[in-house]
Amino acid sequence: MTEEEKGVDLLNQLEHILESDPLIDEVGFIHPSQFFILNEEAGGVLPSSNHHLLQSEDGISSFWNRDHKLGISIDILLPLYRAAKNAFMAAIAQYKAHGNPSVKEEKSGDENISCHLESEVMKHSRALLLLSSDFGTAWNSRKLVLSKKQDLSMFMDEFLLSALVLSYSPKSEQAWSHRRWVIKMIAGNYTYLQEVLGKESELVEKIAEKSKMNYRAWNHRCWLVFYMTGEQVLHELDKSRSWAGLHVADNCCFHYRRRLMLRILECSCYKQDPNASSGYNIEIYRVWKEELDWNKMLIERYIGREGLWLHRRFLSLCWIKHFATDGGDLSCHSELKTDANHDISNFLDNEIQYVHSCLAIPSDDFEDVETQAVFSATYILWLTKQMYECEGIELQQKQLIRGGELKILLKKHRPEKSFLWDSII
Amino acid sequence: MKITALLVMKWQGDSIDPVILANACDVSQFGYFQRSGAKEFIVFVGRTVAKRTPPAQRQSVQHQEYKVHSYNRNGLCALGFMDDNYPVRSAFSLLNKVLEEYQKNFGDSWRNAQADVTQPWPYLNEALTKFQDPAEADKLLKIQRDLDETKIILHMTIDSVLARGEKLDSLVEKSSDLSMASQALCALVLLEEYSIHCESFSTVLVMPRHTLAQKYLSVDIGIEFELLCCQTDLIVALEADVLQAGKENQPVLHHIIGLQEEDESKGLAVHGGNFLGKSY
Repeated sequence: MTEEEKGVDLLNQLEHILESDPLIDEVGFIHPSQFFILNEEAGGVLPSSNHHLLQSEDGISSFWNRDHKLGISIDILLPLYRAAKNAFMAAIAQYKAHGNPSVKEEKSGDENISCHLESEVMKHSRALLLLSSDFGTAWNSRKLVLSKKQDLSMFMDEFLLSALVLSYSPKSEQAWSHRRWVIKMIAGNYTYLQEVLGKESELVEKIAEKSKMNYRAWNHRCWLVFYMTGEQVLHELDKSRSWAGLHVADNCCFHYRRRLMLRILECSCYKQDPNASSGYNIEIYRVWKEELDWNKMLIERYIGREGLWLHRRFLSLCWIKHFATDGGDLSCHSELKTDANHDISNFLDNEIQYVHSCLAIPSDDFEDVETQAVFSATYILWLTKQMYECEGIELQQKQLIRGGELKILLKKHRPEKSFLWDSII
Repeated sequence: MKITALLVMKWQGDSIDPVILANACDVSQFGYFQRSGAKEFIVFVGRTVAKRTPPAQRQSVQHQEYKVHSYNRNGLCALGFMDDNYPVRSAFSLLNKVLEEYQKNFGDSWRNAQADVTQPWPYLNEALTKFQDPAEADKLLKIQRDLDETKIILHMTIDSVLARGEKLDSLVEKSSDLSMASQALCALVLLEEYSIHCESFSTVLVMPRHTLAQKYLSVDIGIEFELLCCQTDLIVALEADVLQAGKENQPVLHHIIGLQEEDESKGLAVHGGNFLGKSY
């Protein structure tokens, strides 16, 4: 067998496996020596009727398929990839050459050919994408075929394929953007959309667990927020809280929460009717307060985490802008009047007090107490500057005096920025 | 916050490799095919770090997004592989507790251990699950108010733990803890530490040079290769998608390449640009 024929043979084997096991959810590339270990772990070689180890003629192990997992030996990758690419390029060229299945000529022969060409393109592009996640042409050819067919179940299949690609390449931008394209295509279909959005969110969380610092995954999740309704957003905020609490080092999840909260604010602005919206507004107020308290709890538990302090900056500033008033028109929000935290001055006092309590903790071997002190100092500085610049609110004298303390602390722990401290405080 | 592994080892400060006394691992977050490699890697890194943690010292080594915390108390060493979310103070409290429990249960019998113990220690497995919960870790902190006065040394990479002149990839090659497959995986991990380009490529394949002995480089004319790293024995190359316009665009197709071993004279250290080789 020549190299090329071997490649084609491998491609056929791969496509056969994909056809026979549509529930494959994970792809991996394995070193030849791993076949033995995998077989052992799977409890020895099974009787031949249960083929899970495929070999080519010269006895080289190529594929491993069991429990809906697919392993491809790295030894065969090069010929396999070449064959897949050639097959795909040929298929797409033929498909395009055949032209659009036109309405005027409904010859049955023609339809059969175009159906066949479509399935060839889909088949080969699928195999190719499992080897090369960012092959833009392959993704686009699938989009081309799908946009002509407009078949809902085929759209759903795209989710399966892209999830499979993401299993070995979680940061593949092409795979993520393909999912977004599919969502836009089915956006007209409301019932499906809500379900899909929920599942997308869960998928991102699952992938973020396995692959840290995955900006693209979180970016995708933020994009979904645009399609969510007000109620769904509140629900998401609640659902994702426990994950965020366990992953405080990951700023992405807090950034996502901020995105959700901004959407909540947007949703409330659109509701013109005060009676109808007051229920929602009270809900938002409660959610915000909860978030502030929860954030404080995390800051106390996980000392010295910058992400948490940054989140607090966002929460505090929005609180001051939207929720706290100086006792002005609260006519329609009687339930809120009784809350002592409701005015700005009180809120600020509380924050400053809290910051000073962070500064007072004695240092020990772990260094994070100092970091906590620095973050709390910069937090309160930032907040007071923002309030002054955005809201024109000036601090009372007593609050200014304590600025001297902050300056000393910051100069001690961050001496490289002492010029900055001098100019701000 | 996640604990991936807890290990107890014996190392008395001499030249003998540390011996594993207990090992609890949770590799479920890794892909199906990476799990056995991950376990081997944990053992390898554990041994390497333990061997360089002198008695009565605490240190933390940062490795990608994980931290390896190590505490050696009179020859009995506890290690924890935790993620960035796990507070350092809780981590060391936990290691302290593990050592106490070990002494309680096994007394001083560990001093005679010569070979790795393969029997699991139930307490360690339970601790692995129990202390993933921050509330439990908090409780631990309240009890362990009096940690010793020794300072914790933080290392930003595994390399900084090694003595001068030691290189991690040579340790990888010599180590009997890692199978061939894991050595390849290890190489990938090392590469990510040295290369800033990895983020932009969706798949990177690496093979140690000695395994490529029988293979040949086949290159189609016109395809650009970028040799990311010629780090001692590692070669990585990626194939850019010729159909995508412009190098700045989303790369890449992955790839695997073979090299003709005898051709050292050709000088394969090419950074960017075209490489026109013979096709086989």
